Amino acid sequence: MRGHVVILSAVLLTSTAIGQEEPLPPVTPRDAPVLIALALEPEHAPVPRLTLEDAARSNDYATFHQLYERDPHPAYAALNELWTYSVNDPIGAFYGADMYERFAARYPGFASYIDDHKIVDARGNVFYPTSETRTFLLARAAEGTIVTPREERVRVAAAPRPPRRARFRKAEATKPAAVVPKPEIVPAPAMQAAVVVEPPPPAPLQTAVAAASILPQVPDAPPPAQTELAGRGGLLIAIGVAGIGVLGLLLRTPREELNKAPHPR
Amino acid sequence: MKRTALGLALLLLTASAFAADRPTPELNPPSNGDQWLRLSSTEKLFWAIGYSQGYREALEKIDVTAGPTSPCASLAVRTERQTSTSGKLSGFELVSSLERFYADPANTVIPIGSAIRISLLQASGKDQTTVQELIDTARVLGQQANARPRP
Repeated sequence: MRGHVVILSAVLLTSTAIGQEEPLPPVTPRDAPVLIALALEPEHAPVPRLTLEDAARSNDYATFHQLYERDPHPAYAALNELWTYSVNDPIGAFYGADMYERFAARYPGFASYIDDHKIVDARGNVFYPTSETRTFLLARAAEGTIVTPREERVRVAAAPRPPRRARFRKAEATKPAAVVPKPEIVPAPAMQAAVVVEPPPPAPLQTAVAAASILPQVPDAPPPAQTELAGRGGLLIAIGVAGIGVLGLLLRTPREELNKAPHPR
Repeated sequence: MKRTALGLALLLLTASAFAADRPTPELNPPSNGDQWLRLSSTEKLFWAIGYSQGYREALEKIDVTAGPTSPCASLAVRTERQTSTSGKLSGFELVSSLERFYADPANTVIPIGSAIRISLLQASGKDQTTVQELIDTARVLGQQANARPRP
């Protein structure tokens, strides 16, 4: 009897546990209370973003270089160059005349500033300290000074300008056509060669006139160096045309006379 | 006569008062990176040269005091070979090494003697793992030393 009671209670317990495995769907009230009260949450102050200037002031080369590589600000270029040299060179705490001249050319006042800190070695070589130079460059960079090397500035200033004479010619060319001096007639080079070197065969006068009518279509703004040559060419053309005309007349006359003469029949 | 004595006494008193006002000059060598970075480059350079010279002088004194065949002499020779900057690094190089070492802000707590030792090991090509372990240990020791109240 006792064993039956134990089994029965065990069955009941098991069925209760099985029945509890399927929970009822959650019932949410219409106006659910807010689980997280934002007003009570702690407010963390935003982490200040480290700048190039901060990294340089705290003498943190790794951070500075990383920030510069990510966003290379031109004002900090010289500082990055110097500091990178300083970290990588065996005697990077000092530098020589080459770098000194570069900085002196870029920054007015640098030479007088660093002159107090220079070190002359036993052989008379002059060295300049990187640490003090970094202080100087950081101050300039913090001011936002972006410098251009002096040699580059000179190069920009000495950029080739158009010569004054050329500009004058350009001004002349832009004047109205009425003011422009009358261009001389210049023959085409092929035409000139045909006239001068090889006399043309006797041709009708119309051909020469037609050739002359083409001449004004030659470019009307000859280069100044060809002006004199063009004048001579024009003269030769005129002589040539006259010669052709005379030759034509001479050659035509006998034929007319022959035509007029009675044919022997 | 009485006036002269009084004037002389006054003069002596004034002189002694002035002498008492004058402060005794005190200049301490840098003990860690924080102090090192406050020096000018000229100061760093001459400190480095003096440090190397003093180190070598001290090791040579061991030989003189203990005798050339004593264990101290051989220890001095070995120590000199391992740790002295003299003959291994010029003053310019030593300053540059320390500048590089202290360019990491976490290293500024490290005592300058440890920094020189680590720099020498780095320069001699010691493996980076060992060097980094030494740096980590030196940082901990440096922080502990800085936390202690100074006399």
